[in-house]
Amino acid sequence: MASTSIKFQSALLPIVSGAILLSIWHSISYFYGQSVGYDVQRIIIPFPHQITSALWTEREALWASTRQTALSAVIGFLAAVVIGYALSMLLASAVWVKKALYPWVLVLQMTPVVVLAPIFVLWIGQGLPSITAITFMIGFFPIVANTTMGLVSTDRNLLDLFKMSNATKSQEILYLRVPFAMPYFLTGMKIAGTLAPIGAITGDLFAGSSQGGVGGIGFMVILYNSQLKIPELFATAFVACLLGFVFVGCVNWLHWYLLKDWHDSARKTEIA
Amino acid sequence: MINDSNQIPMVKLTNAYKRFGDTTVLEAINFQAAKGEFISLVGPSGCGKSTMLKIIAGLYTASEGEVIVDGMNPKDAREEMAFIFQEANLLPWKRVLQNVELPLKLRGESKERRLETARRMLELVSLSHALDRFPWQLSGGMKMRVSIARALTLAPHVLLLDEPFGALDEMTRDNLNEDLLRIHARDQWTAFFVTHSAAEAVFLSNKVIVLSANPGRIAEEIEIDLPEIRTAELREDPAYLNYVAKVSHAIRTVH
Repeated sequence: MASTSIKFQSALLPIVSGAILLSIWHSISYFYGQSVGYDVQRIIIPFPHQITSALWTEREALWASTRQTALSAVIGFLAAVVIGYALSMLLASAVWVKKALYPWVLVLQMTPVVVLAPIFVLWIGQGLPSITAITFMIGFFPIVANTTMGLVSTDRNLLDLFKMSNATKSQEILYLRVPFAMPYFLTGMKIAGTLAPIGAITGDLFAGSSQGGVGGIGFMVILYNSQLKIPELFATAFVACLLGFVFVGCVNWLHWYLLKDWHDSARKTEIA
Repeated sequence: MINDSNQIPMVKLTNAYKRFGDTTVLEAINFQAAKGEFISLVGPSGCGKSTMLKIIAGLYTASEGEVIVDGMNPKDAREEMAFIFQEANLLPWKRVLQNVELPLKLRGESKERRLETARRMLELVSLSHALDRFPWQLSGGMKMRVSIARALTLAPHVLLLDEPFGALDEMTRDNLNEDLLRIHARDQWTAFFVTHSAAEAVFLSNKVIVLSANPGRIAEEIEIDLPEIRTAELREDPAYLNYVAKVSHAIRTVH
């Protein structure tokens, strides 16, 4: 009984609070429109229903740009995962390698990616290449930092166990270090997954173009803004938010799926 | 128990020292153990018991002196040794059966052989019902049994146990002690058993080595002259209790 009522609460309460927020929004739009006129109101703080109708009328353009952004996000994210993991392996392979390279990884991380964005455009051109590069840059560091930490903090006793079994270096990596670092790696992946859609949209703002296809969400932001299509801009924000949820949901599911059998983090919590 | 001076020693330490930086942890250790002997190492904490075990295992190298295991350098004799750690030290992402077959897998045995041996060892420690469980689904005692089964898969000649039962409750510990002796009677490996408990040391061993601290050196060797077949009833035997008192006294008064 108690648990059903808790479930009911957690389903109902967000709906109630959402409805309240929407009606507050609606009232503000209404009173603002009353004082400055509805033409101005529409481009400053549109009614919720104006946003939903913009969502509907612009559905094709938004869907196309969302797919484009999702594509950049996925490619940039996967590149961050693969290259990040490879670099972590390298960093964890010997203490001197980490000492030599890690400061430079940090330097790269501390340089804001938006500053580098124009350089990427210069080097590899507008559109997908630059956007994925920017996404990659944003997602790369959390993966490297977490995975390296996991690889180097492998339990000493387990390492001794492998030593006692005369395990080869590659057996030690494959059967011990990699699985041991898995939760760390997946945590890095979760952070990178949160950042990837943001990275793809940011990249789009700097390097997006509709040439040779469709622009992504960032491109639509620039477009709608320049045309003062503010309800459409809000609709774009809504779509971007959904994309973020889907992306993070997938990564969190992967985290849960890979660790559910044995790791505390997946056993005790549900999919976020 | 076998303690035949004619036999070639299984493990022999000759004037062994271990230093970490300026700290001497072990000093002038001279000791040998014959095949099938069960030897406990006791002493105040920080006396280098675990270090001595790791030197025999070849996980540490002696700073000075000689360590021989079955006529070889410890590192070359690893195939003949198994180490049981303070915690069960299982791979949390592997099920019980996969944990036990691990040493054989690392050695490149065929899957059939591995699983067959692992199943047999788990039966030996009465865990046949738990093959598919993950370590987190086991009690502390069960985890330790898995760890013992894993160590036995390689049919070691020397078993090194580093306070394996220290974290367990007394009843579980007693049961595991009895199991360990049962398996020892069957397989006759040479055992080195580090413990804080005088009672445990006496119950298991034919010889108890008392180490002093800072630096660790052998303060006393106490032969335990109790019947070879030992059961739970032995714990009420006056002769056993006498030995426990003797060992406790020795631990308390070493310097």
